[in-house]
Amino acid sequence: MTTKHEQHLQQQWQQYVAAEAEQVELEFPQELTAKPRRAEIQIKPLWLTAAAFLMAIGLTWWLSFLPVPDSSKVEIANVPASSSLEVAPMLLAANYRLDVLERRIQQAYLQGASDAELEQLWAQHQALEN
Amino acid sequence: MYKSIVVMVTASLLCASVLGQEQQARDYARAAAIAASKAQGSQQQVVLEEPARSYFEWGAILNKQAEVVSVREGSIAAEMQLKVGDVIQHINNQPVYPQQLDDALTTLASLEHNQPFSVGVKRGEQTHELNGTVRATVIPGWRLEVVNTLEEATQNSESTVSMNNACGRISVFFTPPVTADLYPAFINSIDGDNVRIKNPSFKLAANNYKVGVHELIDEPSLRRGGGSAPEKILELTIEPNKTYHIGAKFIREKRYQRFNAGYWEPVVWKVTDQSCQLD
Repeated sequence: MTTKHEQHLQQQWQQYVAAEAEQVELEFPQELTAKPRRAEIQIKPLWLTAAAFLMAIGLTWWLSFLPVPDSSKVEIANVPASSSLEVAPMLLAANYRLDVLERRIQQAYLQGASDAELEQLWAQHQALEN
Repeated sequence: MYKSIVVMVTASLLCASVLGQEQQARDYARAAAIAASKAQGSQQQVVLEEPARSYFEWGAILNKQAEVVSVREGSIAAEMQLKVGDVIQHINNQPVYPQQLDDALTTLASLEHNQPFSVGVKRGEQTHELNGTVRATVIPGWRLEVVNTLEEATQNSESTVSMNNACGRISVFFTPPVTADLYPAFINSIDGDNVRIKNPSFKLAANNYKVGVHELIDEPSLRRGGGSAPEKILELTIEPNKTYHIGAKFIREKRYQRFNAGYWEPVVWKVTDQSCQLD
C-alpha cells in the first residue's frame, strides 16, 4: 500500500525523470557492443592466478634476503609493564542483524508470543545464520 | 618463507573481504535511503543519525521457563559451555525465577565490558557453575542524509566562455546497462573544481571540460586495491542542447589490474538531445 508520503515522492521523481528523459536516444558509442568472449573469461583468471602466485613466491623469496628485526623481542620490549591481556578491546558486532533478531526472539519469548510468531522469527534466524 | 606466503595470502583475502563488506554497506545504505524517503517523503531532505553505543549480547536465548533454547556458535554463552536444555538457576548468585525472567535478563544486559560474571545452570539432575567475561560490541555513530530534491547545478568555470547562453549537460542519473559492462559512476570534479557529488546532473556552457569521475562498479569478480581510488578524468566537448550520460565501463579482462585502476574507464554511454539554457 502506498502512503501519502510515497505518492508525493513518486510524483516528484516522475517529474524529474520526465524532464531528464526529454527526447532520449541519439547515439550509442562502440563500447556497448564490445562484449568479452566467454573463453577469455574462463581462461584468463587461471593464467592471472598462476602469475600472481608465482609473483608472490618470487617477492617472498626476495624479501627473505632482507634483514628482519627479531619481532618477538621487539614486541616484548614495547609492551608496558602495567598492560594486561585480560582487558580486551570493544569490537564491532560480528553479525549485528543476528544480534537484533535474537533480541527480538528473546522479547517474543518473554511476552508470550504465539507459536506461529516464534516459528516465523526462527525461520528468519536460520536464514541469517546461513 | 612459508610463513611469509601464508601472511601474504591472508592479507589478500582480508583485503577482498573488506571490499566485499564495503559493497554490502553501500547496498544497505541504498536500501536505507529508499526506506527513509518512503517514511518521510514529503521532506526535501531526510537526515537520520545516531551516536555510537555499545551493547552486550551473550548469545543465548531463553524461553519463559528460563530454559536455554539456543546458543549461538562463537558467542560468550558458547564459550561458557552453556548448552541447549540448560535451565538458568542464578546469574551472579542472584536467583532467577521464571516469573521474573525479564529482571534476570536485565541484569545480564547491564553488565559492563570486561566484567566477569557467573551463571548457575541445571543440566539434567546436575548443577553447573559457568563463568565468563562480558565482551561488549560497538555500533559506530552514523548519519544518513537523503536528498529528495534534485536541483540541477550549473558549474561555472573561469576558463569557460559562454556564448549566447548555449549549454549542455553531463548526467549520471540514469543507470547504464550492466549487460554491456557499464556501471554507475559519480562526478567528483569539473576542470579540477570539486563538485557536489549528490548532484546527478550539471549544466555546462558549451566548451571542453575535464570531468573527474569515480566508479560504482558492483561486480563480484572485481578485485580492487585497498584505499580510496583516485578519480579518472574524462575529457569532454560539450555541445549545445545535448546531455552526456556518464558511466563506468568495466574492462573485464583487466579486473585484476589494481595498478592505476586499469579495470575501468569513464565513458559517455549515451548522448541525448535536451534543450538547455544557462540561467
